Amino acid sequence: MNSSNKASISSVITELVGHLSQLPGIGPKTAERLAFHIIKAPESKIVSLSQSLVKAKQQLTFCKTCFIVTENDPCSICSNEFRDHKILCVVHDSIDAYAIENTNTYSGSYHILNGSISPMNGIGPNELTISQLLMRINNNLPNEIIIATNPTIEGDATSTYIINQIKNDEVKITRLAIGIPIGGDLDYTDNKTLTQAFNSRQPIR
Amino acid sequence: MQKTKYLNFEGITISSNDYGEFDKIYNILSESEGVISCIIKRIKKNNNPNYDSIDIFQKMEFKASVRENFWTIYEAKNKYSWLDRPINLAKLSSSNIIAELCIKFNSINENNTYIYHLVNICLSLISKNNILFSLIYFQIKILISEGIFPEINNCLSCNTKLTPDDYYLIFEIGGLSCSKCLTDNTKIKLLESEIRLIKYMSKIELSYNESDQKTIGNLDINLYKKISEYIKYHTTQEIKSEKIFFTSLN
Repeated sequence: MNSSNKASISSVITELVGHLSQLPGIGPKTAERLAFHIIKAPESKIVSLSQSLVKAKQQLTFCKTCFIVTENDPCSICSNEFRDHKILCVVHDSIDAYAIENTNTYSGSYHILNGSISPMNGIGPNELTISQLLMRINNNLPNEIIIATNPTIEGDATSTYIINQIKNDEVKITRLAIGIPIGGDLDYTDNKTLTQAFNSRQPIR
Repeated sequence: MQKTKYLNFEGITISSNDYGEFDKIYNILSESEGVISCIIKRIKKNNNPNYDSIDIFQKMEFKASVRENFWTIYEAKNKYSWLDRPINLAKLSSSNIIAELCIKFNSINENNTYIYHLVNICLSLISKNNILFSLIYFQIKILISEGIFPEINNCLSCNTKLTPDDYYLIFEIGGLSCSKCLTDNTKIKLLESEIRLIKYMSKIELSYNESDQKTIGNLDINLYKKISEYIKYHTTQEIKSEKIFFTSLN
């Protein structure tokens, strides 16, 4: 069945598939599957889904301090007086901050870069919230900045750029360790990861 | 329906995009096929023992299945990585420029083996901080490879020898013009020293082992920009990484 035949079956389905396939990670085939799932699902569920979508778009905004996705500005993390605002964790996206929050091990604040430097996509330092981060560092003088960018070449270039821009020598800058995942086997770990794991080894006594 | 083929090949990862929840699509430059788009499944989960850590600008040994031009990588072993940490913006963005040019010229390129070795040499030059030399060398060699390298010996219209003042590269005719023959065509002025450099670089052919020794003093970013304008005229496409590359030089 080609696309012109589908269009003749229902323009509504074609439109829905078109919208869904524009979402990140959704190809035309998955979009079709989702569309038919939506059609078959009870109306109440779909109404509730569409209301959630509209609500998310209307009510969510970005915190003007840390740029995390939030309902209130400042966000619940920036306005929480029990958190240590002298420690700043720099991440690519809000979803990374949520992943760290799920660990329940970090009680500092965040700074969301809104992406990583990606020259091929035309994203340079000016397209990210790096200047706001530098302003924040100058105004608040944190004790520690934890760089938690992805361990990819683009994530590493982003972290190198940020580190070079921080002129204040008194601020401690750390990076998340790169190494062997829990439950992984040493003999299956590739050379690059193993080298990094050796370089970032920690004293235990 | 075509049968599934299984292939082993060496390639350089030149760009990647997220695909779905756990997968990524990599553009891989290979010696036999040029740039191919391959899906690597569950690579974001990072716990598949069949894959080494994969990132861009790595030379790797791949095992892939191909069906109806749809490439799926099921094994990848790292051979060499050009961009060592910490990675600066100039190295990343210049490598990205080379990647973009490979992708842009891929559809018409038949010299895959030559381009593959050229990219090896140029990434090696970049890793040793010979960034501008690498980019200009790549520009010139890809123009030669595509058959659009300009004629830079005489005025293409009247065939007279050019004086130091009137070197104009005319985009439409793909060559130089003297001031008498100059028309309203798209053009750019080239300095005598720039012409000499272009001629020199068009004649030299680096091997991979030479890439750590080769460098030229007085290379100017303006020469890169001028050749880039010429390439843009022929490809009608912007090179997105250039903007960030110029920022990185400041």
